[in-house]
Amino acid sequence: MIIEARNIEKRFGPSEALSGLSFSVDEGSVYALIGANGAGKTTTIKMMMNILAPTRGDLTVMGTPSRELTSRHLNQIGYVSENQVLPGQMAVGAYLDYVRPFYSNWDEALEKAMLRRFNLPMERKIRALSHGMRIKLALVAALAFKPKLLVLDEPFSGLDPLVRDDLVESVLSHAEDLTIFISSHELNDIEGFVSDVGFLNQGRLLFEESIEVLNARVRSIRVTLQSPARPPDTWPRAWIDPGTSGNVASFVHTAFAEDQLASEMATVFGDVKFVQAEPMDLRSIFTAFARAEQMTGR
Amino acid sequence: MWLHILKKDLRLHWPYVAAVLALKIAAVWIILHMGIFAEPLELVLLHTFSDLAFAVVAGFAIIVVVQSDPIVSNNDDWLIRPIRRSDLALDKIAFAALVTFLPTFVFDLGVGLIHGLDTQPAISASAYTALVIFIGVGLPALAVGTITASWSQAAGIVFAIFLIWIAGFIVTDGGMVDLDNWPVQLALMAILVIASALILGLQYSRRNTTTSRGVLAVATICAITVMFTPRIVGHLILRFTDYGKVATGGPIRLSFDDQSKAEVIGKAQQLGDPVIYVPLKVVVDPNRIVTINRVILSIASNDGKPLYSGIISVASAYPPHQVSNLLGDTFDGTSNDRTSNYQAVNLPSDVFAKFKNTRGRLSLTYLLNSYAPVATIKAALPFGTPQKVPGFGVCETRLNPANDQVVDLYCFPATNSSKCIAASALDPAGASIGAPQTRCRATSTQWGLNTAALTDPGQFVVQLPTADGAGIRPLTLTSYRAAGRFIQTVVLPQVRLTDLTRSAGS
Repeated sequence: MIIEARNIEKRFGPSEALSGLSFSVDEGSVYALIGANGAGKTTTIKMMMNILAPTRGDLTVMGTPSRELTSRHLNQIGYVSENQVLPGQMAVGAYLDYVRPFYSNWDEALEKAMLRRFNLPMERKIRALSHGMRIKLALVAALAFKPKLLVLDEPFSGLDPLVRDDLVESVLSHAEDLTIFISSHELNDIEGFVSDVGFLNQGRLLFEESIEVLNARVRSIRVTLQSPARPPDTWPRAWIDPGTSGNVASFVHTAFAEDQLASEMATVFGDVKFVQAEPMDLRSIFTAFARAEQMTGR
Repeated sequence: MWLHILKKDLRLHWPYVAAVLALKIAAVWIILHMGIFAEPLELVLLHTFSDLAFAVVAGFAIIVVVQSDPIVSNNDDWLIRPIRRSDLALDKIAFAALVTFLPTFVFDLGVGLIHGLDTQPAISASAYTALVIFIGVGLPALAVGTITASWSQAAGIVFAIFLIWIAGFIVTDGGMVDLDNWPVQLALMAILVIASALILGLQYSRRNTTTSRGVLAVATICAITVMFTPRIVGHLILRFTDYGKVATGGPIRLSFDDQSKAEVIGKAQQLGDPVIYVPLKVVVDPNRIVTINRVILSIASNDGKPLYSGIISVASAYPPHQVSNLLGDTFDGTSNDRTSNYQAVNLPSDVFAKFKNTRGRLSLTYLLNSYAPVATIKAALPFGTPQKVPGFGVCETRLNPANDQVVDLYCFPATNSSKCIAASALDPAGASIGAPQTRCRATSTQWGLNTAALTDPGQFVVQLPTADGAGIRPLTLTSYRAAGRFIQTVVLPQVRLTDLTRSAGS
């Protein structure tokens, strides 16, 4: 495990930002921590980077407790955040000149290639760059030393699609031997390349699993009944986000198994005319889970 | 790597460094243009302002540079770079030294050498001054910079400290201790160094801003408490540390001049704080100079019950129109020849009001320094040209701007221990014209170092007769060094404080 969190708790004064958070990230994986704004994604990442200290629990990064991360570890961790404050009064070139000597394995050829790709103006002050340009610059400074772990905190937030695609492509082209930990609520942007996902909601991790397993077990189900739908008194626990309209009932099945679907429908609804089970994209899955959590009053 | 970070800070913040250097150069330019006589007044005021501006701009620059890699932030780039926090701390401390210690040391050393200090005392004095500036400006600015995120936050903290100081001033009715008192200096410096070290340690190791702000608050309260320790306590410390074990004898004997039959002494000033004239008999060793360092006034009832004790100051500059032979704060052989001497001392208004018309016993305890001659030389000093006087320092003469029959002799004590000088003009036969004129500097050294020689030339003038408009006569100059400290107590039995203003006026 390149990152391992066990029962992390983080409090800011009386308010609890994270509670009982546990997750693990395999080396070489692309792990997405998803959740709504305020769910605790950035807090989690800041604790991973030793910017914040957990109130309780164990958090290790590259085998070292996050509170004991040293410059030797940061030499192998790239980090890009939408909130990252770069030294605005420095020019792009001067900033890279400043950062470069801190890294023992800085690859100047890679740096130049990325600069060419992103077309960054070397003489321009960082404060005069657009948000997209600043993120590109941060990415250059996070990848040019060939890190083992790349931590991205909402990197695509507020970017136009062209810039976003450019950044994603750039990250993926260097993904070999790289573990990526990304937090985002722009789920369409990350769906194509994440391997594992953790769903954080109001400071608690609801689940984590590989994207293949998640895609396999979650379906949007639409059931057409013989007569106007009468919702069951209690929905099965695995069915979330239910709704009825006329003789159609719909819900999200979170433990979908094709061979058991017919019998499940019959048990709950009796006679059904038609059952449709559609795969869901990550965004829809996230929305369904979030809505279900809201319904349960968390 | 700290040097790499320092280069970055200098590249980004060079205008601040340039401003600090410009202000220091301006201060040096002003000192050199004031010359050894420290005139005109406009330049003296400008010099005071430039010194203050240097400290303010240096402090501002340090805070800005510390905040460029902010400790209190959770978003700044340096946090996720492999930058050792010790390197970052070292860089900021180096920057603080660069804008406080280095320019002060270099430029003050230059001024000291130009003013005639020997190399070793010049280096020691300028290094000490630079260290004080670093501790007094650099370290607090570093500490404030590390616990704040913006200039406005830092300004808020500085303003809050200023308000606490004002509160201390008001609560104690302006009773701030003498900052030249070495125990006070030591205590304040210790508070600054310990608090700054703690804050820097906490911030650059644990980023524990809450605790660091607590340390700053405690340090501020401690410093204010030290600064506003009641005067009497400060003086008792001084007396204990400086005079506790010295002899009560010595080369001078001061006593109440009962020949004056003065049973009534009292307020003799029409405006401002009361001044009382104490009739004194003075017998001093003609080979010594004695100066008053402090005077402690005690008032007791006739039956010996203590009523009041406190520090008072000598009103040596008070216009002596109301009595003859007003004594100053320096005694020499010529003091023996005078009769009807009076010592004018300032009395706090509240003390006068409380004990007015009270019959009792007044005691004046004098804390005295004595000086012995070291060397005597003969010299003819050309006007306007500073000249070294062996064993003492540098002297310069000029025609008195207001009286062309008088020559002003300015002597600048340039060694650590030279404090007093006696000068007399010689006639063509080589005999002295009149008695030697004596001057001492009371507070020109700190910790034995002549730091005043660097930035505060001041006046130290002896007036001598001119030679019929033909330039200056040859002089004899005798330099003196500190020889000892003494306590003398003068008791005034059966006197009554009263308001003599009306009778003095009439």
